[in-house]
Amino acid sequence: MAFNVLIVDDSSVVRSVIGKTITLANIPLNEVFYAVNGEEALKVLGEKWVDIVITDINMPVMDGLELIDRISKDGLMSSIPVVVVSTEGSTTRIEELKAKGVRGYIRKPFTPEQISGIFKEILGDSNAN
Amino acid sequence: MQINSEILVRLVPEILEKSAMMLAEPLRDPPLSIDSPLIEAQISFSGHANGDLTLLCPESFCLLAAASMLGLDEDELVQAQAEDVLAELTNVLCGQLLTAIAGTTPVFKLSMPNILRREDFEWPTFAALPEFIAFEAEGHPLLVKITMQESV
Repeated sequence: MAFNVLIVDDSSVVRSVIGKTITLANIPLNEVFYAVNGEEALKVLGEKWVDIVITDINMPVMDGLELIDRISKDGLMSSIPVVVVSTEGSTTRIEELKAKGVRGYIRKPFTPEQISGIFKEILGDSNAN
Repeated sequence: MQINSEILVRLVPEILEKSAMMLAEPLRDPPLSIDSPLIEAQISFSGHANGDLTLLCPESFCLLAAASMLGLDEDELVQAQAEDVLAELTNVLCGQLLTAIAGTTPVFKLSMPNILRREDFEWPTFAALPEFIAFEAEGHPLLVKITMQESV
């Protein structure tokens, strides 16, 4: 099975780095979509099939927290795993994200192994199901 | 609030190495001039404490960092990518610094990075300010400053 991935980050460099990392990680990919903020991400989610969302928190227009709330409110959280990649270091905030249903959290700066590891952990579960 | 400069001295090279695969070390005497346009990135933070983190560097540093992160040649990059890299490095450094200073419990709100292009003749003025700590990364100078005060 090949996966559709949505990468949400206001930094073009971070979007490229994450995109390259998952491409090189031997994860079976169908399409990779990119969004610069939560609002754009919701548009993509409304138009395309997405198997996993990778999102930053601190973004203009609509931040990652609001995006996660909207995904949850739309009933998508149970079917589309969300992974946060952020500079956030507060355990209070990380626990808040987990309580909202976020499946994984990676703190920047991240290694390619962290990105590919969490993909395999989450999508590997999907494959098994 | 007293900021231990040792935290900056430790974290800046660590972040540059992990984020951009660049080796950096503190620089006692920054150069008197730079060889490319001067770029400033600043992030403000609030919450448990309020303050700003400022990075100043020549554009040549940003282009090298971007090339390293993206696996491209420097002449394939555009100005926007150089600025984007500096913004992201400042963002990452700010997050790590706040945790190192205040611990993992407090929640901070970070502003979007503000990027400003300055005149390169301003460099020696900034480099002479004691509140800036200078680094050298792969032959390029970098100035870093953090200001912080506890919220009332």
